[in-house]
Amino acid sequence: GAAWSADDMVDGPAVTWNHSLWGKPRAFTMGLEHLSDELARRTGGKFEYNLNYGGLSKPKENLDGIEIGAFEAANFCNFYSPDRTPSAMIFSLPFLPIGDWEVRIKASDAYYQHPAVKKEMAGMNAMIYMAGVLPQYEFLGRGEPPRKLEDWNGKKVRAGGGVADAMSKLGATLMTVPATEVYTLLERGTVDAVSFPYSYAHAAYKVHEVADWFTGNFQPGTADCPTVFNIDAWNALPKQYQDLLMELKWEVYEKQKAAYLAADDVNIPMFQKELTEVRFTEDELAEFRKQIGMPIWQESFVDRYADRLPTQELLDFLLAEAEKARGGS
Amino acid sequence: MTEQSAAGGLSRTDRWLFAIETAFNLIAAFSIFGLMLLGVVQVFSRILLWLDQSMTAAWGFELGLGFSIVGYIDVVEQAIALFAFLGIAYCQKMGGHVRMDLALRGLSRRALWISEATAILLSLFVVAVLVYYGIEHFLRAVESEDSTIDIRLPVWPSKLLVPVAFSLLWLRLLVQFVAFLRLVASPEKEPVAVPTIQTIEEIARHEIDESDESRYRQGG
Amino acid sequence: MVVLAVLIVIGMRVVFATALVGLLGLVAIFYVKPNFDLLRAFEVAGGIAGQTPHSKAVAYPLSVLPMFILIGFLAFYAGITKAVFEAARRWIGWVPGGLAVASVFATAGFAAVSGASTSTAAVFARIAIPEMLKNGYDRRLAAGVVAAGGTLASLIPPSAILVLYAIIVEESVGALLLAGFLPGIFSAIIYALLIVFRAWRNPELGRPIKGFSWSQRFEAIPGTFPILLVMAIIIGGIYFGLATPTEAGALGAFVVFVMAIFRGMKWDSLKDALLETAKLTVMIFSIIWGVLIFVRFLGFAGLPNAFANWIVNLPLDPWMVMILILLAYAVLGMFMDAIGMLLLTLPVVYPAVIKLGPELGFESATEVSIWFGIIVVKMVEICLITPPIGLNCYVVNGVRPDIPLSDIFRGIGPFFIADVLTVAGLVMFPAIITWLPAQM
Ligand code: NA
Ligand code: NA
Repeated sequence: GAAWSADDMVDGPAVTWNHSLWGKPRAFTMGLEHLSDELARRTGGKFEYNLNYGGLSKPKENLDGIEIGAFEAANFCNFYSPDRTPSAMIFSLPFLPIGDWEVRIKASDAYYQHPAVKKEMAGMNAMIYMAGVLPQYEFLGRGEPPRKLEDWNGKKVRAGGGVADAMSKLGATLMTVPATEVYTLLERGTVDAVSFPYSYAHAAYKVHEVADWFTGNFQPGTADCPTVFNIDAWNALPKQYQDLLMELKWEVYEKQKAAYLAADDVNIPMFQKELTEVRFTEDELAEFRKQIGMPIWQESFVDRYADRLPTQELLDFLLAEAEKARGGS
Repeated sequence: MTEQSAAGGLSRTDRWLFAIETAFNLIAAFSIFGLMLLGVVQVFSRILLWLDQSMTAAWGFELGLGFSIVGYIDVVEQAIALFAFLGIAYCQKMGGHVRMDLALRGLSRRALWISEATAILLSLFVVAVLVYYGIEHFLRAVESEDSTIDIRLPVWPSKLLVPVAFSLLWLRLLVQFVAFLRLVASPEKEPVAVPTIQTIEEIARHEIDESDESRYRQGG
Repeated sequence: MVVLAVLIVIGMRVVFATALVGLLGLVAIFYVKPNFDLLRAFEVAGGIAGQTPHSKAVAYPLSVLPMFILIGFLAFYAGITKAVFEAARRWIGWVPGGLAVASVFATAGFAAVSGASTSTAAVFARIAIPEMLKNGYDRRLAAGVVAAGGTLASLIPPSAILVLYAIIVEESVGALLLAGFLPGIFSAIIYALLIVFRAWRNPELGRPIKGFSWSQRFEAIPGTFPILLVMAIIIGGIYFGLATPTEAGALGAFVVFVMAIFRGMKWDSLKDALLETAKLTVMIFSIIWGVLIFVRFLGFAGLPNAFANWIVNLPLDPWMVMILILLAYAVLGMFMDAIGMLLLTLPVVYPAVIKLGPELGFESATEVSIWFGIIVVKMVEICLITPPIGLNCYVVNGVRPDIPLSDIFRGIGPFFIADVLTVAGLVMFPAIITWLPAQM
């Protein structure tokens, strides 16, 4: 709502950037839509930042496209090729204390600026512009709700990454189900519960229509799909445009967060009305974090990638940044 | 070199190449058969799993029947490269790749061969580019230790299949190019090592032979 | 575009022609960018083109294609074609034009194990035409019904072309396959009604076949079990969510395979069937990646967006625009291979269709894309029975050289009208298409 003055305008040469995305415009892309609009507005149309929904690359190959310079910007998800972007796999660990939006944004943004992370991305001619901050995952399921952690034993669940590691430690059977088939397979009882970023993705795949219950505060983990730039393209960009991009970054985070919260405002009351909400007590969750979470942090991140990254240092760094953000907010 | 021995050399190379192409296509064929078996196992194990869990729910004991093949999708995806690429040279040899030959039917023999040779030359160029950058794509996967989502299979083997299969295709195209050049030089010669244009009637005839039940029942 | 047309006309294989034009187009796009010289432009364009074959082929949903193709090849060994025609003859032969009507339903049944129109036409030209001619049926009708009935194979699952459509537009493969089922049946019923009406007005066309007892009718049923089983596996498996399309296809192929073994299929024939399956599979995959290199070029050129905006802003009624699009498909289909044509046009046309969707009265993008998929495939199939190519008619002529091509094309006439009616029906009552997948 602020009134912009002429001082907001940035002058410079005509530049066109292509950003490779996938799917349809949605909460996840609302921030980037804002970025594209603002760049055009504040450069008087000189910096044209095109969002391409799927026309330029397959999502899994967006990093290849960045590396060869096919486009200047893209998003990639850490779970697309785990061993290719080990540093980003930290966000798939279960029960990291980064559930709060402010904490999540500040800690992830700081994390991606860590020299070890930057070095890994530079190997692919890429630099991370900003975190993707996917919401925490939750489960929607059918049949008997898991009131206690033991109830997960024997349930057939769709989960990936750290969530999958955690669930298999709880005795659940992991199922591989393409997102598009989730609705049918849940309805027919082929799977008992499915995890998705909460709440918008569940709503997008209409999981609530066939589910009986949902977990409201389980927060078993998340994922991340950060925005990356091609380093050459970044270096070729005039200084004033670089500054503008960095300035706009925080607005982009805000817009994206607002889009997720708006989706929650619609979806969560709907879930609460139609489904049974399963909530775990703080004690249960703390116990779970200790019993299940921390061993997986060690196993799936610290040990697994120790030969490629200073993993312990990175984990400590992220936790410290999260703590700092919590204290500051 | 006499014309006789040139034609002989051409058809010898053709036969050698065809042996390799057939071997590649057989691998593709059996990977399809394997995919079928894997799918059957996957469905049956899911049914067993369901039965077992229903029994557990009803009577409270577990038989431990059934399993879900973790990473089934990963395995299938990587295996696709086997049947998506390995048979490509075989298919070229057999004239199996789609094209439009309506306009070619009206040409004189020499014009026809010139047109064919030009098309093959351009194909040689584009396939060479794809081989080169296919290798780069493969090398990126090796360097970055790229892997699949669920069970973290390395993806480089399937990426390697592309330049391998396309290299064989390139050799096949080269043989066809030489063969067409020979025909451009002397259009009256008997075609060797090239697919000939089928009329619509011949295409129809091919479809009919394919679907001839009696041929199959006699076992080939 | 013009260059691509020229290359295809001089007989270059579609896969190489599209890949080449796509590559050169990408080079041009990057060359005009600042900071790019020709070498760098070529590097990037080559990089994009070079990763496309692997990136586009290695996708789980595509793994269903070889399964469907395998079912088709093995079905010939399993000996189910005669059984299904015999059952249809005994059950439905009593109506006017009974044998022709039986042929329609037999082809519809066989469509459940065949993904390709031409081979279905070939099979029934051999089985059904002699039977009809023996009973004094009009030979134009006999040939026409077989050529037209063959096209049902592409609507009733399994269908390779519907799988491809689903993949290009990123819809659920299962949903598209289910969506084809009722329109396939609907098409068959329209064909049947047309035959009954014509034979009722003019009994000379084909007389009813009567005199089967109920026990004879029931005796004919077991022979059709294999088809019912495969149909139950594929449609049921997908509908009830018991299996992904690939898994359902694998199980279907396995059933037909076991049956073929029981009927004495030898190792050599199995090898032949597998080699042919592999050849057809690689051919389809090649068109996919070849065309998609070209489509990448279109994407970088921003054409799909521009086209969609242009279409939506046309000062025409949205239904008029839709009809023009369908007519364009009918014209293109006369000259081009169906699969290649869909791959080439959909990335540009589809976004426009989706934008038109709300104006056409559809509630969701999914509904529009499923509906459009079935309509487009039906249009493409119509081209299989119309001049100048009309491959199905040539197939029938090849099996029965005694029936001149001109007679077959004339025999097709009424079925062409039936198809136009079918398309009109599917446009007016889109629920025929969208109802079944919505129940999933
Ligand atoms: Na079919
Ligand atoms: Na056609």
